[in-house]
Amino acid sequence: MKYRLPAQPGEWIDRTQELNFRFEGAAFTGFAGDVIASALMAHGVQLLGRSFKYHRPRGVYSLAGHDANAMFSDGTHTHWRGDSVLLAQGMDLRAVNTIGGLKGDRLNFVERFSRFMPVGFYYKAFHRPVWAFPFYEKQTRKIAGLGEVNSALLPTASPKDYAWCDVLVVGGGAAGLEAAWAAGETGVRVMLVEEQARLGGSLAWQHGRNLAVQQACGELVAALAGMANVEIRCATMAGGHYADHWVALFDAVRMTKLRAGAVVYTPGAIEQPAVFGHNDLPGVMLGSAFQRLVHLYAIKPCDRMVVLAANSAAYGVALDMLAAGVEVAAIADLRPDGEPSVLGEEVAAAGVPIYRGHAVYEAVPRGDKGGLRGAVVAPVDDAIAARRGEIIACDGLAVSVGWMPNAALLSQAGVEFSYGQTLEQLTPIAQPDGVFVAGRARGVYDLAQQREDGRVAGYMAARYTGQYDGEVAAAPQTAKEAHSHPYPIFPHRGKKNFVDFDEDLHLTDFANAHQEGYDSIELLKRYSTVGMGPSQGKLANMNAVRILAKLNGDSINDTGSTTSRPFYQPVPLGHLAGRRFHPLRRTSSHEWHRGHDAEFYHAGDWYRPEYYHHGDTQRDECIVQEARQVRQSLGIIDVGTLGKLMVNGPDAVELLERLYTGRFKKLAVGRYRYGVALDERGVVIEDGVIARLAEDRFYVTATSGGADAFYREMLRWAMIWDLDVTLSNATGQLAALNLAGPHSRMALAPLTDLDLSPEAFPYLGVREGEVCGVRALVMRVGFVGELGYEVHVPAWEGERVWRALFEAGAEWGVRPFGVEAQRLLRLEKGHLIVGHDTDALTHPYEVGLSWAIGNNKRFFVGQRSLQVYAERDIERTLVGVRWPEGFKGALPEECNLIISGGRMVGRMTSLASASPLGYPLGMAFVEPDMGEPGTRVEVRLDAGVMSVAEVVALPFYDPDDERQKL
Amino acid sequence: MSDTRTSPIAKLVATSAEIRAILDHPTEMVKFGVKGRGLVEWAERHEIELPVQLYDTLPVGEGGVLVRVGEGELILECAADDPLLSRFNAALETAGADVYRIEQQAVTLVLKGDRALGILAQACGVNFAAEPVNRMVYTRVAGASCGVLPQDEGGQRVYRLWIDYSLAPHLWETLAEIAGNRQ
Repeated sequence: MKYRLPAQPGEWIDRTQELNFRFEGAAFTGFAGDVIASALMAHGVQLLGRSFKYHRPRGVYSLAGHDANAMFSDGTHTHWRGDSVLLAQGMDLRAVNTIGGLKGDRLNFVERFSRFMPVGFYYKAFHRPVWAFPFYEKQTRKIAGLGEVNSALLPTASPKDYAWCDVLVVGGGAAGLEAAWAAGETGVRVMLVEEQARLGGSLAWQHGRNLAVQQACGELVAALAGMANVEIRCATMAGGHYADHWVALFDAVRMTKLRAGAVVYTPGAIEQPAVFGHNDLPGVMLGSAFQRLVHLYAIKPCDRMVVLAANSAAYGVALDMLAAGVEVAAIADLRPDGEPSVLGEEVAAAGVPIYRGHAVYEAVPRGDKGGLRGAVVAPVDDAIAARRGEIIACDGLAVSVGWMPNAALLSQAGVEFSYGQTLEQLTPIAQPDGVFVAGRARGVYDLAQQREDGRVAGYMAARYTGQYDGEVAAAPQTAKEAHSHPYPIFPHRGKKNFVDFDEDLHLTDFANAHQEGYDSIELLKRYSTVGMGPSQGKLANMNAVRILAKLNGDSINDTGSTTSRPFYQPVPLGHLAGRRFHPLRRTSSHEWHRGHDAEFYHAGDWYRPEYYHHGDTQRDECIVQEARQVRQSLGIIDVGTLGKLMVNGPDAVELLERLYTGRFKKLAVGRYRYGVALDERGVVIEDGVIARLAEDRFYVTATSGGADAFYREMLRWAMIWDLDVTLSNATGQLAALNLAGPHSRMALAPLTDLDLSPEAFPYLGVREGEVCGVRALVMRVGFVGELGYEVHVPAWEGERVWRALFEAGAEWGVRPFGVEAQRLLRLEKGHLIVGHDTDALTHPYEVGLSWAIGNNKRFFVGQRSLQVYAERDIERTLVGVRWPEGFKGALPEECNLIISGGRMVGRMTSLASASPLGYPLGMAFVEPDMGEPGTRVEVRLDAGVMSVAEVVALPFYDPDDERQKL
Repeated sequence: MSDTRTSPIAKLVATSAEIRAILDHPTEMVKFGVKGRGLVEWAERHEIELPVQLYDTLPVGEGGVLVRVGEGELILECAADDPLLSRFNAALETAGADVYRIEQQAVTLVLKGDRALGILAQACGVNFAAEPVNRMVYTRVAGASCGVLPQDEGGQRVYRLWIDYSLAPHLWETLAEIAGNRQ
């Protein structure tokens, strides 16, 4: 670490913790607290990456988290920013965007063709000839982009987090610390977030070696740490500001959704580049980057340097570098009169040559182009491009020509800015309620005034929350002199003058785009991609606006600026996704099913057993065996997923009459009926059974997937119709099982106090009693076409009742059956499933449900639409289809199309590839004239071949319902 | 827990004993729901004290609670032998059609300890630090509809979560994962 300086006051590195790491195959060491870039620069490594488009050598430029050309990957993390990611033990890093390594990048030839790659060239070049586009696309994808996503990487769950505070302070510099302190002093709950690992902001590196400043900062930080109502989060970025002061915070592992009562923004200002020839060479850096290297990481940035200056800060840089042992060869000051403050005198006294009214015309590259060997300094005048100035030997060039408010979040929050020529920067002119701005972002540069500005903002924010009513002093005035040069852009005809380092856009690109008519900043942005790189224009947008303003002959304010959108800095997608919350419901017997080798699948919100594994038996055979057992003896299925809705009150029956197509007024207590519900268009949306438990008390079942939506629909209609009815959704409160098969009565009878005899408890009957000593509601059902009982019990008792019935059924060889066997059984019986055999257009006449429509009813939802349908011929009808017994050919999937004469005439809705009946069967929509039994239909399989089936009458099994009426 | 009742998360709880100090699952209490337009009159007739405001609660027995979850709806959580439960049952036997029992089989989880609030904050968008104790909040926790009742236990807040029986495993697994992560 030959460029590591002796310990610097307030440095961020821990010299007691040495870390080993590798970069591009070579071994290095650094210290804890180093960022990757500083650790490399400690060894004199300036070449850190290749540029996006031309693959030019690049290094550190801002060291403030905005360096898009110093990005690294360890094979797992795709984009680690070298200027902000902390070094860790054992890192093995490569620069992104190279082929064949950083030094020998095989893509560096691209720059030689740069004249053929002007701005927007890909819009014009790659769409012709059409046949070549795939080639262009493939090659472009291979070359473009930064880094590679490791698709083999297993994602780790990033926590979601919510937080709340009264006052949020964004930015932990002088103004932010004071704002947090002032707000905290009023007693409100404060959160202070700072993007860097430590508090202090520019005080940590722009203190001018004034220990009193550092001490004051330390005292303020200590005071804040002692305030119980102030929470400090460092290494946390405020990434987006949304409505009602909802701010997204990002740290290393998560996004926190913070809701604040008021927000104080003290984000500071971002130092801006100058545009001149080869201004992107490694070794050319912002003045603030030089200071960060020295004061935060104790790195000597170079041996001999030139400073391009336009403000006092540049002279502070020169003095800091002199103190660090760097020879300052010259200051080129853009101002004709130079620096008026005492700093100017100090620099002059140190013997540094000052070239007033001069600019850097060109950075002169070394032979390997991995750094610079000098800077061409020339007078600033209109003819500068035609002149050659003096070459001053140097290996470092500091650019300190101005600042731009760090305005991205402020703009998102709704703060409006205006460009003022006094300051030559944007300053806020209007702020939305509850948003306050202080410090450099407001144009306040004097340290004492920044602190006062922060305090005022803190008190104002506390007062905004309504928890503080003290008087608040007026905010300090903004600076009276410019800290930024109005046009730090010095064209060089022969060299590239970069405006946007992220996207490799140089000055000529802007002129070309403007010539092509892109004369508004938003259009220019989209055509040229300026500001669309990883730093989101933080180092490019201001100069882009200046250039466009000059090209248009407009003012900065008339030119405007582009829209800032979240996020302030790119964030990991995993942080946005966060921990997945996918609530899936489990029935009361879920663990039993697991223990009996159930294969689960997701049915709507539920886990349901699809079928139960049975030794080595294949899936389809397991399903057929389960179905056969129901037909022949006894099966049991968990139907706890059914919607279970209670409808009580004097108007209960009226509600049901209006919601369903059928009639229920005369339904006897102790009986149930099948019901079909429609929407206003007459489309079937739900079905189930409506059981009458008392004159004014009904128990309604609904489909597993549709129960919650239908319950909301019931509530909505009950309110609209102002009915005296009370509804409750007991779906999750009750377990339910169906004991089905010819032996179900015998299995259930010993466990219940109900009389199950056919006379006492007929088909379509419902009874309340006890099963296994538990209060239960029992319905005699026939969905699967056999004698069956549906038993509903409280959820906490569900598994016990299930076990008891399963044990009771052992005598008849009971088997659990899953949803697939149930679907097969009901298919044989010709029972449709709403949402499976119907779609978003299906009305009852198409699916044989005319019988479920009550004639002469006064009203039900969808009735008027049905009256229209009744006067028309139906366009399709649901029919049964089957294949020959023992058929072994390829079968269709559900939804495969039925084709006739090259025309689509229907589609499969359900299919069972095997059944206890011995042949494949299914249901399908066909055109009405194809619905006659015996008609042959051709179904087109996914592979494109046709499968021939025969239309048959429904049901396939027990057409006289004798089995379920046993 | 009685011998006949099966918690949907019994196995999950048994295999994560290490987090019981943070996330617990009391099973000794039962729940009972009453609903209907005649609730207030019914309660007056049977001298049953009601929480006054919506989502207010009243303590019941040892650790039990009576919550008013609607103008005409109550949920009682108490020991199976609590006298109030018997009174509810008896009072409902003579109730008219305007008040009736509704099934309440929700599962109770309890978040407690110093990390309780932080764990909730990773699963729910409600600022429970600002919510008063003993008032029920209906919200979504880990994406599932849930009742959350902040309570005071020895000067420290605990959060009683009522979750649908079928969603209890999801909520337990999610909260246990968060509690175990310590992030």
